[in-house]
Amino acid sequence: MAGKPPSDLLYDSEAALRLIDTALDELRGESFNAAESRRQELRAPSPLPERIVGLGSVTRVLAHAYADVMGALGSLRETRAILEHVAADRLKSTNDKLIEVSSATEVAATDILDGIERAIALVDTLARSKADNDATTIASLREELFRVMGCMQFQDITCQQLAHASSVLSDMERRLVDIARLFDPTAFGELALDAATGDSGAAAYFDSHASTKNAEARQAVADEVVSDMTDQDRKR
Amino acid sequence: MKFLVIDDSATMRRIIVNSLQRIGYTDCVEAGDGVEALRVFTPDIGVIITDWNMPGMTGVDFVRALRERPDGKAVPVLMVTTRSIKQDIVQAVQAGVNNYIVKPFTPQILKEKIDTLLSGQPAIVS
Repeated sequence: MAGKPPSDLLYDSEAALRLIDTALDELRGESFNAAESRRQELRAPSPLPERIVGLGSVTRVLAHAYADVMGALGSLRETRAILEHVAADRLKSTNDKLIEVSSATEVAATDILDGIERAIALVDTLARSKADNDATTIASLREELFRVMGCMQFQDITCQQLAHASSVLSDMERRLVDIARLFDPTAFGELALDAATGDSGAAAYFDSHASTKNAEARQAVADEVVSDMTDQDRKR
Repeated sequence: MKFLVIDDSATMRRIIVNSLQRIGYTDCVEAGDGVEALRVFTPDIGVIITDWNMPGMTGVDFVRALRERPDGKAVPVLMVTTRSIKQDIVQAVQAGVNNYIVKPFTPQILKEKIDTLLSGQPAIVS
C-alpha cells in the first residue's frame, strides 16, 4: 500500500470526497425540514437502509484512503531519514574535506616557497663567486626560479575554487534541509540554523569565476578597459 | 619606494613581495585585508597592490575608503585579482584603482604595471 502511485492515491481520495459530498448533500437537503423528515422516516423507513448502505461504502473508501495516507506518511518518514543522512552527514563530510584540501595546499605552497627562497639565495651566492664564468646560466636559473614562484599562484586560485565548491555544497545542504523541514520541522530546526549561519559572508572572499586558464586573454581585456577609461577621463 | 601589499592569501603576498624585490623594491608592508590595510597605511607608502576578494573588507571597499582620506587620494593603487569580468574592472577603476592585473600574472606584467603607475597615471574616481 505504501508503494501505491500518487495518482491512484489521489483518485481514491477524490472518490472518497465525492461520496462524502453526496452524503452531505443528501443530509443537507433534508435538514431544512428535519421534523418532517423524521416523521416521514418513521412512517416510511425504506430510504434509511439506502443511506446506510451509501454511508457504509463511504466508510470503506475512507478506511482505504486512511490506510493509503498512512502508507504515504511512512514513505515520507523514510524520505526524511534519507534526506537527513544526505544533508547532515554526506554534505558536511564533503565540506570538511574541501576545507582540508584548501589547508593542505596552503601548507604545501609555503614549504615550496621556502625551498625556492633558499635556492634563490644559493644562486645569489653562486653569482658572487663566479661572476665572470657563468653569469648567463645563473641569470637563466634565477629567472626560472622566479617563474616557478609565479606558478605558486595556483594555490590562491584553487583555494578560491574550493571555497566556491564549498559554498555550493553548503547551499545545497540548506535546500535539502528546507525540504526535510517540510516533513519534520522539529527535527531540522537546529540544523537549518547551523547551515544558515555557517556560510554567511563567504562569497566576499572568493571569486566564483577564479581560473588559472586564459590569463593572457583576460589580462588583455583588463588592459583595454583601463586604457579606455583612462582616455575618457583625460578627454573630460 | 615603499609598497603596501594587501592579500588574504599569505602565499600571494609572498609571491608579490618577492617579485617586487626582484625588480628592486625591497621596502614592503603587508596586510591581510582592507581593514588591516587602512590601519597600517602611512603617507610614505608610494604604491599599493591589493587583492579584491578578502574577508573583513574587500579591495574595492578599501580603495573607496582610502580615496576618502586626504592622505590616500593620490597614492597609486594596483589591483591584482582573479576577477576579470569587464564590469568588475570598470567597478574597480571607478572606485579609484589606477591599474589592474589578472591572476595568474608574470613578474614582467607586474613590472610593466608598476612602471606605468610610477610614470604618473592618475586615478579615475567617480
